[in-house]
Amino acid sequence: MNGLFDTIGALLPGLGTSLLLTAGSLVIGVPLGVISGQLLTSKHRIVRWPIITLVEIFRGFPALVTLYLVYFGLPVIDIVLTSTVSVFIAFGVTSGAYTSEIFRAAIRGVPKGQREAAAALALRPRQTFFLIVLPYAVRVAWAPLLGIAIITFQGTALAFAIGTKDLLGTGYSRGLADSDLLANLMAVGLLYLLVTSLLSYIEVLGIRRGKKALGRRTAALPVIDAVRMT
Amino acid sequence: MTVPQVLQGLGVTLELWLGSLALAIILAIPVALGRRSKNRFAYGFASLWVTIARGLPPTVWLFLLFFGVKFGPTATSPVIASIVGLGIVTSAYIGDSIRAGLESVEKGQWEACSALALSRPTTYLRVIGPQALPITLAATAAYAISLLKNTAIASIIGANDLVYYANTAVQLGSDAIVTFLFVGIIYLVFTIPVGFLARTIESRTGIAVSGA
Repeated sequence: MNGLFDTIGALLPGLGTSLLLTAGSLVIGVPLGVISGQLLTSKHRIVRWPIITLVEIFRGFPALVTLYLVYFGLPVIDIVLTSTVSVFIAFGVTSGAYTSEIFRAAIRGVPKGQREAAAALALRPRQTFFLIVLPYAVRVAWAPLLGIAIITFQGTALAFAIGTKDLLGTGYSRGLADSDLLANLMAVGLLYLLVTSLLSYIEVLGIRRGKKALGRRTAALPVIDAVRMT
Repeated sequence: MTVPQVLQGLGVTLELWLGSLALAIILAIPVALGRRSKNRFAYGFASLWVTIARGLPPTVWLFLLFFGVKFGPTATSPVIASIVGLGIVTSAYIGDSIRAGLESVEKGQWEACSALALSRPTTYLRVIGPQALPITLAATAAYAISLLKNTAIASIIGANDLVYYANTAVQLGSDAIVTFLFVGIIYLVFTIPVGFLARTIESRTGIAVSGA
């Protein structure tokens, strides 16, 4: 038992790195998702189609391919990034593509009356978006956003492939040094499981609350629940 | 090595995809039945399976099976380790979509079956199954897409799939942007039709699963 606690203690800095990679990716991804989600609700095709194309590309590419594209590809055009920044950018655009669907559905789900009321109060379009639409959308979207956060957190294990000392990377090196990969990788798995379970628990609570708060009136909810799956 | 030579890896990528999809579907059936079971042991086991399968990142599953377990077929072949690992992860998701499909069938249908004294296999295969299928299929198609993308992880433990060959090509001097864009587009060639299929089933049955 002592061995397990020692292992987990040794892995904690790696877990910190994984959480940092997750946070950095989401700091880029969520605003990207808000912007593209709003643009996706545009009436004009010329606005929608470039966004749809980008979203389909980054949702359709394996995250590992996007990561390699950033880490090995950008130096070709003389942009050399550290592995950490590469993860931020690659997983930022990937999570941005996923969250854009969530925000599109959430923004669409904002009842028409809210916008009409904003117009009646003579709010400017920008004010309407930031003061009325976005807060309303966030209330619907935060639980599925946690779903994306879980996927992103688990996805950061891919950073191992470009040599980051994340949770998996730390556990793997320690396993090689101890020549006990099984014990170290199991401890790695246990830590991922703990964080994932904690986030899922909050997510489920959020989905329940969201459903209660909004009742059956928003058609957006089943769509949002489902985005989590892909 | 020219960029199109990366296609050498396509066979292994498809092998990984279809192999793990088949394994996932086989494992998903007991998972779905267990999660619906009134038997506490069956329910508990299926729930634990789902929690652990989904709780570990696919990358960690592959590492555990390939580097962690020192004996058996997963220790010697990165392809087999990946099929097993991705199969386990995906079984949890497909199990849930089978369960969702079964739960979508109205209670009256079950009651009618028992009123007619239909056997359990007949009930499932002839009455409930066909009605549960559209929802299960649409959701499974959506998971099949993420599964295909996850097969790229197999290259990290040395399976010689598309990404593996792309990496090799780049190390031998191919342009990294062209090579990885090319590989990414090959994945799109497969994911876009499957996504389209999922959406078609969805719109025909009036249910929302893929969200895209």
